[in-house]
Amino acid sequence: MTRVILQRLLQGLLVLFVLATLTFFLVRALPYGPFQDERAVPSHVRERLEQLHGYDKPLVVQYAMRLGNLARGELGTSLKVMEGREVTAILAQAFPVSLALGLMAMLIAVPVGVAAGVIAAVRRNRVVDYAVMAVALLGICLPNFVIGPVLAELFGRRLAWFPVSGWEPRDLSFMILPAVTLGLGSAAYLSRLTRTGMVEVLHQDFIRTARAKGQRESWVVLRHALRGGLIPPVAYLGPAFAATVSGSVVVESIFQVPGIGRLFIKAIETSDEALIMGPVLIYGSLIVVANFLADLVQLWLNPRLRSNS
Amino acid sequence: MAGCSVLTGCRRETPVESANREGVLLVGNSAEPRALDPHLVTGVPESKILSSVFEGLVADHPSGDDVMAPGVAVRWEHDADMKQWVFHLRGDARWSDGEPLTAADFVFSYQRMLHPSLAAAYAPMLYPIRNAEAYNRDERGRMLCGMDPAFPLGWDILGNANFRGTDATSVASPATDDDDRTRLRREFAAKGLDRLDAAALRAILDDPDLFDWPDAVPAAVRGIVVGRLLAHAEAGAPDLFDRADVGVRARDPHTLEISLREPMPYLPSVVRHFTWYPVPRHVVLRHGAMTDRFTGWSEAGTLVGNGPFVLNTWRFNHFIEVVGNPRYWDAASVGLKAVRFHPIENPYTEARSFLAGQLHTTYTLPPELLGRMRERHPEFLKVEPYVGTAFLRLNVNRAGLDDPRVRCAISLAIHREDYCRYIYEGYQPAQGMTPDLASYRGPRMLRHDLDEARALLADAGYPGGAGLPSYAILTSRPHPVSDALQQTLRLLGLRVTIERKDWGSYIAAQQELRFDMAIGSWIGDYLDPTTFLDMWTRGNGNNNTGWDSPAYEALLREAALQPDTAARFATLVRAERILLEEMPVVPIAWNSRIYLHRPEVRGWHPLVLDNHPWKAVRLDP
Repeated sequence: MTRVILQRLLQGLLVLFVLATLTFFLVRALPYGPFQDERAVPSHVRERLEQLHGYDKPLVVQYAMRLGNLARGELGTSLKVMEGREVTAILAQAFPVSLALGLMAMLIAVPVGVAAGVIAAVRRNRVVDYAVMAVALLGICLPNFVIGPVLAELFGRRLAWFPVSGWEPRDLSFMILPAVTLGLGSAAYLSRLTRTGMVEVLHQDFIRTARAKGQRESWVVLRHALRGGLIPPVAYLGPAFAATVSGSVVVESIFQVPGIGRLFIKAIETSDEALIMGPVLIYGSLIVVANFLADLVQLWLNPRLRSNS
Repeated sequence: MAGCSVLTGCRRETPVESANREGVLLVGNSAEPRALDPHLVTGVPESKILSSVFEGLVADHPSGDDVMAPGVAVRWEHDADMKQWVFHLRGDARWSDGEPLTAADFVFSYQRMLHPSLAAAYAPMLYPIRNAEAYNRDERGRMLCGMDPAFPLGWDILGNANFRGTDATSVASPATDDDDRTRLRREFAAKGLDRLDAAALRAILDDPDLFDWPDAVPAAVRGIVVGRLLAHAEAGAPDLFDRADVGVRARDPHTLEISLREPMPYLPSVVRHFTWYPVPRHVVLRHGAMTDRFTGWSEAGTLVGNGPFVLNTWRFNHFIEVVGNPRYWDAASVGLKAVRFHPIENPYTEARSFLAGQLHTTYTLPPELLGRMRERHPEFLKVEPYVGTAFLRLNVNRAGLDDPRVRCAISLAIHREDYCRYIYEGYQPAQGMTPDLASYRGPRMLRHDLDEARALLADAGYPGGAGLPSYAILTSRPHPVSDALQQTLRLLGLRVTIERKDWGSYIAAQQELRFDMAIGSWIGDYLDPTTFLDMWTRGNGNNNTGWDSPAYEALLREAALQPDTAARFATLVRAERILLEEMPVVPIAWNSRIYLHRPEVRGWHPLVLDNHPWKAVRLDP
C-alpha cells in the first residue's frame, strides 16, 4: 500500500512539474504581456516595469528562477489583477470559497445523482425511469450559464427563497443556488452511470439468489447491489470533481462568488503569470488527489482490482 | 431577520432596506481594484473608491461638472498668462490619522508620481507641470546640462545629441574599428547618453570616438556633458527632482505653487483627477521607500487618506467598505455612514442583483435590458450623457485605408441615428470626435450620404469597392456594432470580416498596428476637449492609427499657448476639423452612461464626467 501511495505521490509531482512548465511557457507565448493596458503605458514606464519584475532577463533564466521559487513554495506576486499582492494571500481568501462551493456542489450532486440512478434502475423501464433519465439528459445538455441565471431569476428574484447572488461565509443560503448550478451536470452524469451500474449488477446471479432466499427488495438493492453498482459512478468522481472545479468560473461570475475562478480568468486575460500559476497548481493538485481518492474507493468497492496491490 | 426561515419563503429585509436604515450606500463597481494607491492605478472602478478616501486640491460638485468646488484648497489664483498658479490650502486640513495635511504632502506626492523609478503608468497626467516630463523620463542630459542656465551651449542645439537612444543599425562603423568597438558603439547609440552606466561613460570619456555627436556640439562641450553624466552615475544616480526644477513648490505649509509648461486655464478641472491627489508622506515612508511599489501602505487598516471616508474593510473580490471619516474638514455635511463597493463584473448578475434589492446603483446595464427597463422600471433607469466616444479605428498603413477619401467614404456610409436607435441604444449620434464638453462645440462635420460615399470611393480609384482588399474588423467581445458595420460597408462594396480576439490580444494588436479596423472607444479624463484631441499625435500610445499630421499638431500647440478659453476653443475646432477631414478614426456615437439607480439616493445628478462626490449623497427612503 505504501508503495502505491509513494508511486502516486511521485506521479503527482511529475504532473505538477509539467503543468508548471507548460503554464510558464504558454503564458510567455501570449501575444500580449502584463505591462500593457487599455490606456497605453509609456515606453519608459514599461521598460522600468520589465526591469523591476525581471522580464528583461533571458527566458530560460526567468524559467529557472520561477521553478526555484515554486520549489521553495513561493507562488510570487500578482502583476496585474491585484498588483503587488502575494498570490498566497489572494488565494488564502479565495480558495476556501471555491472549495466550499465545490464541496457543496459534490455534496448535492453525489447523493442526488446516485439516488436518482438507483431509483431509475430499480424501476427500470417504467415511467419513473424515463422521467429521471430525461431530467438527467437535460442536466447534462444545459450549460451552467443557462441553468444559473434561470435558477437565480426563479428562486432568487421571483420566489425570493435564496439570495440572487453574493456570498456570506457563514450563511448557507448564499451557497445553495450556485452549488446546485455547479452540481447539476455532475448529478446528471452520476445518475446515468449509477443506473447503468445498478442494472448490470441487478442482473447477476447472486442477486437472484438473494431474492430467492426471501430477502427484502430494499435490502437486496442497498446491501448487495449498491456496492457493485457504484463502480461506474465512482470511477467518474475524479473527472466530476475536475468538471466542478473548472465549472466554478462561470458559476462564480453569475452568482458573484469571490472564488478563484474569476481571478483565474482575469489573470489569463491580463497575462498575470503568478496568478495563473497558482490556481493551475492548486487545481492540478486537487485533481491528482481527487483521482487518487477515487481510485482508493474503487479498490475498496471492487475486490477484483485488488490483485496487484 | 431572526426567525425567518429560508425554506418557508417568508420575506426578509432586503440588503437595500437594511442599508437604507443604516445609511450605507451599496454600489456596483464593476471590477476589483488593482490597488488603492492613487499613483499606481489607471481604472475607473479604482477612481470611484479613491474619490471617497482622498480629496484633491479642487473637489467635484454634485450637480455641475464645471463647478470647481473647494477641496483641500479653499481658493486659488493664477497670473495673467495662466502658467503660475497658487493654491491656498485650508488651515485645518488633516489626514484621517490626525496628522496635518500640508503643501509638502502635495510636493511629495507629485514627486513620487513622477519619479522614474516608481514607473507610474499615469504619470503623463502630471506632464502639464513644468519640467515634469523631463524628470519622469529621466532625461539626465537635459536636467544636468540643458536646465543649467550657465551651461556653455544652449539646449536648443545640445538637445539634438543622442540622449534618448536611436536605431543602432544606422550607426556607421569605420574600417579601422574592430568588432568590440563596433559592438560598443552600436550599444551606446541604441541606449543613448541618458541611459549609459558609469562604466560606459568612462569608456567614452577615454575614447571619444565610441559615441557619435552632431557637429554643432564642440568637443569641449562633449567632454563636459559626459563628465557630468558620469559624476551623476558614480554618485549612485541621485534623485534629480530639485535639479530638474520641477514646477511644484511649497511656499509655506498652506500655500502650494504650481508652475506649468504652458498656459492652462482649465487647471482646476484637471487637478480634480485622482492622479493629482495627495498621499500621506508620513505613512508612505513608514512602509518603505518613496519609490517602492506596493508596500502595503494602502491596505485596509493602514491606508490613511484625507477624504470624507476611510477604508474600513477590503475583502478581495467580495466588497470594499469605506466608513465616515470624523477628521474630514466637512464631516458634518457628509450624508452617508458608509459606502460598500461590490466588484460585480458580469452586468447581468449586476442587474439581477439590483432588481433583487442588493444594490442602490449599478455600474452599467446590458444593452438588451434597456427596452425592458424602460417599460417595466422607468423609475430606476438612468440614461445620461457621458464623456466618451465610440468609434471605428482605422489603420492608415493598410492598402485602401491610406487614402482619406476611402476613410471619409466609410464615415459617410454610417447612418448614426439608426446606429443609436438599434445598436448603441441610449447613446447619441456622434457629431465629431469630441462630445460637447463645457462650452466646447466641435465642428459638426459628420453626415450620412451613401451616394457621396460611393462617389468618393470611385474618385479614389475603387468604384464599387473594386480593387480594395478585404478588411477585418477587430473586436474584443460580440457586439452588434461589428455586424452592423459589416453590413454598412457592404453597401459600399467593401468585403469585411469580423475578427474577435480576447481582450489582451485586442489591445496588443492595436498598439502594434496589427489590424485593419478596430472597434474602439475613448473615455475622457477631464472636462476639456484636449482629452479627446491630444491623443491623435505622433508617438502617442493611444493613437494606434499610424496617422499624424504636422498641421494638426501645430494647431494643438497653438491652442495650448492661448489663455483665453474662447480663442483656445476656436483653435481646437480648427484642429478637430483637420482630424475629421482626414478621418483616421470614424466617430460613431457619443456615449451615455446607462445604469440602474434607486430613487431614494439623493444628491446624485446627471454629470458628464460621472464624478459624483460621495459626500453629497444621502439616502432618503
